Amino acid sequence: MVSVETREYRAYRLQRNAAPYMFILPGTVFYLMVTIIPMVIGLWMSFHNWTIIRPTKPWVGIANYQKVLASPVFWTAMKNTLVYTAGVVPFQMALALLAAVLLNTEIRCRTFFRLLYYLPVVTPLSIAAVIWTWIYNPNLGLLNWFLRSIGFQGRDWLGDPKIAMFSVMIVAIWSGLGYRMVIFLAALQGIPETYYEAAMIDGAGRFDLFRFITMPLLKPATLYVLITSVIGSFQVFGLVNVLTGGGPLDATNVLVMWIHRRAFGDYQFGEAAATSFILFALILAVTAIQWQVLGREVTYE
Amino acid sequence: MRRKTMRALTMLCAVMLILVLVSGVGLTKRKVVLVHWQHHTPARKEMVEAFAADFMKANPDIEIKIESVPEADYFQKLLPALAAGSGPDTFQIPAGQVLTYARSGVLQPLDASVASVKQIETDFVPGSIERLLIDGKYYGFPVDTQTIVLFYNPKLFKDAGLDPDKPPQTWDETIKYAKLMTKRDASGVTTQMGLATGGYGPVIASLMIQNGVPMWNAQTDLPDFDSPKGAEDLQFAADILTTHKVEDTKMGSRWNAFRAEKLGMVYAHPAMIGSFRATVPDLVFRIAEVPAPRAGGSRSTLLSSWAYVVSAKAQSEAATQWVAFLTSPDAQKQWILKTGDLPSRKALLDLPEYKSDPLLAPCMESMKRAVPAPWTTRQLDDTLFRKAYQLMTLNAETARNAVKWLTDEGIKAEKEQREMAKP
Amino acid sequence: MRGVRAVGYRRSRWAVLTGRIAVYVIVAAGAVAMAMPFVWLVPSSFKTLQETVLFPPTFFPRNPTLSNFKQVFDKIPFARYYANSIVTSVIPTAVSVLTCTMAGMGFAKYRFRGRDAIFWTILSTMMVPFPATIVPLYVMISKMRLVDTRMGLIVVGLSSASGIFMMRQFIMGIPDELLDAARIDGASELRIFRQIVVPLCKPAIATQALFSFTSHWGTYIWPLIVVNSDELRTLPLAIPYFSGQYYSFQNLINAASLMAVLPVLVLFLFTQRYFVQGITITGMKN
Repeated sequence: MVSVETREYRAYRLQRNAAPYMFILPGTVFYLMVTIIPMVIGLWMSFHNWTIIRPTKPWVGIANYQKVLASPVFWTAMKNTLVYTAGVVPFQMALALLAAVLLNTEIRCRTFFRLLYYLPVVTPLSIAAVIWTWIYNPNLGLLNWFLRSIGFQGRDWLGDPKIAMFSVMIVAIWSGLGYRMVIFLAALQGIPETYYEAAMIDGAGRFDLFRFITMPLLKPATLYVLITSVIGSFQVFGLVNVLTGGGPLDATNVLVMWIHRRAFGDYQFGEAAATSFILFALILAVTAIQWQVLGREVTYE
Repeated sequence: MRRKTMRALTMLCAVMLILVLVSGVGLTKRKVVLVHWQHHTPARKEMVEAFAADFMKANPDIEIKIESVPEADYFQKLLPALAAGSGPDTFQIPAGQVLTYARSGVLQPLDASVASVKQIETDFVPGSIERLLIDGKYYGFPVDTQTIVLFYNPKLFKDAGLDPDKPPQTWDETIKYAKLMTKRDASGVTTQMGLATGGYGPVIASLMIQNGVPMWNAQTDLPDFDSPKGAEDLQFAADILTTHKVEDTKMGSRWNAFRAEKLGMVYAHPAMIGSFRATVPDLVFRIAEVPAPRAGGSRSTLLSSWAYVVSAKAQSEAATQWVAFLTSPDAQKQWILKTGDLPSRKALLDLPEYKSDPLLAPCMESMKRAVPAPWTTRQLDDTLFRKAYQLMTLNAETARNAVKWLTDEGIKAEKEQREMAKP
Repeated sequence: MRGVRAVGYRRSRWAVLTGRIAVYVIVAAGAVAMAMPFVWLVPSSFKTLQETVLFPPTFFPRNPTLSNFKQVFDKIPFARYYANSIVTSVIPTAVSVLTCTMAGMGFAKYRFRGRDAIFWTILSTMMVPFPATIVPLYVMISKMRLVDTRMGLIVVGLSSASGIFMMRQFIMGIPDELLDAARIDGASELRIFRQIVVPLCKPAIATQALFSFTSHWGTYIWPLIVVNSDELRTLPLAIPYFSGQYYSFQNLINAASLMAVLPVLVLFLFTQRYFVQGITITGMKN
């Protein structure tokens, strides 16, 4: 290429090279400032006997990690967390996509329906808990009343250790569906109409349009929804806390529930931090795998 | 002219100097500010704010700032604040926790010039201050004092042909009454319950106290529930649900069932008086001391309480004066009226006005007999008992295994807590 | 488009009609399931306290009353909390939408040294459960003397990992050719961002604003810990004051919650029109 560098070109190149840093600077600094330091201190805590009120916090090496891994409750909570994630994420995503596609068609009262689907996202958890506890009530609840009226037996949805997790998962799918639907809706709006028109000229059918245009173009949004949903599910806390408190008999005791109890109930912040970083490693690994498998193609769409 | 100017300037300087001195003295004599945290109920917040106003009137050089923290999140707010050193000057913690906090250096003992050890011991019911004495010094005053009593519904008693003036005296009698008050519909669904414990930790601990289970191994100095009697008590609680079926978790919240007159008897803290009055003012209910395991047996229950404590950084005298004010005889009379906290001062238990009150009299009696928990871990305050109970009711575990599990877990938790309380 | 097979999709009127009916049935059934708990909340906030503990519960209030709303205002400085909530939600939302969109642009459309490392660092901080970091964060904020200040509430929400990630994903969908064409015309990067990326990302920006506001509006644990004085309290902090171990004023909780969620619903109605722009799949009818 020509190696003549005019002053304007140099200025242009400078702003061109500086641009990405300028763009990411405020967002990154604001965010990392309030997350990275606490995270590093948290990591430091996990190697210490850090009981919050005691002034001495002796170094204990990996003892906290060993203690956690040797604890049967940790493994119960781990199993529950995995079951929860596997049960919630795929169904929630599929239903959210379905809702987004249907509510993106020209149906009447579309705005109204969208609003209804978003309502659970804004319904405060404490209210949701009151209402769902009533729906799930074995004797007087709506759900068992419905089941009995069509000839089935009612169950103790939140009180039976065998099905409590299932009941919590239903509420989780309910409460987070609208949020994901909105992302899919926004992504659907980003697909230029011309793509569909071109395909229709080629004689593509409805399903073909979805399969070959909508799906690939939704991939960046899907990857986002998938990764953040998995990260969120692994860290579920509030919902479980208000519905079951982790019970009955640890049937819904998920990892962050346990971490929270060890920290704020038992003062064991070192151990809670160690558990947090074990969970962190797990989430990081799972995210990296998703990124490897699904992220590659997307970059070059 | 010049001299006049000079004089004027000198005067000005003098005036300024005086002003500075006066304001400086004013600054050094600044008010002591005490930040006070406690967990929230509307009644309690209102009351403590009124106490603070009275206290400030009597002590103009002290200013109290009240912060009422939602109960469920109390520790979530308190612990970070303590870690950052920005915590309150006076606050409340469960009585069992005082040892850990005191030994960790978070607290300072009560100022002896305001409340001497001897004075405290003459004034308060021994059970209510037992956990507050550490290394020969008192670290707090008792508050939120609760026992376990039996609430019952006289209407359901009458409907079942029972005499509301004769609450059950023994466990057998209780079950018998409960069965009479339990109703089911044609399909076997429970529509009315006779008795409920909710598997609540302090209730089960109280059953053990009544039956003479020491709950403590004096040799190892650790929790111990693992005895035939301990198993018997857990069995009694579980049987209410599983064998006698006079309690039914499928009915939902036991409090709402009692409010709706669908529950005959329920083990509860006296504080529920206030709750029932606020939510269902028309509900007629009665209170009795808990029934004894057998005729002539014990009615001692678990005394659970919190303590008002003074943080290590607080101004000692002012802070002690303030927490003493909150637990003074006059204050305690208000507590019982407005929040249902039982008085912990000996002088109040036998007041005629309480003795003649049908609801309060049994509560006062139970207060005299109540004993504090020997453990310090919060896990034994509720969750472990509830889990042991659920092991039986949900997993059909035997009572012996359940008390063994309870003992093992209790020891683990207590050791952990003790580790923090090492001097 | 690659490999779209030619398929005859002209269907009979009946098939179209049944198809449309099916869509309505599915959407309506879903809507009922989704909205029911909220629908329950509306009449419940007009019930008396006695009725909220009724056994079995009622759907429509027997003696509808407005006193719950009045009591909420009487018992707590609800209006002040409301104003506080608006301030501590609007500022972080406005700032974070900007910072996240810019950062999304940076991560999506440039190759630069350290890009992936920084991005993954941001992403990874989302993966640490809050009980491990909230105490260090509080201690840090306390050292900065921001405890019990409005700044202490706002400073943690000026940017967000999920926001940056989402904007990155959306901006990646904008064809590079558009940006390059502008560059050939001599546009600066900032101008490309302002005049090409932002307009094309409107649905995503609206979404981000909605989510950011929703989450700041509802945030509870951080304000609980960092705020001490009544002057700074936000709405979510008010609601737990109506319940505890021995009592629960469910009627007041219902009324306060209903009033609390209204602004978010208004914002939803306001932003949702950005999701309607552009084309729809059924645009192909003709």
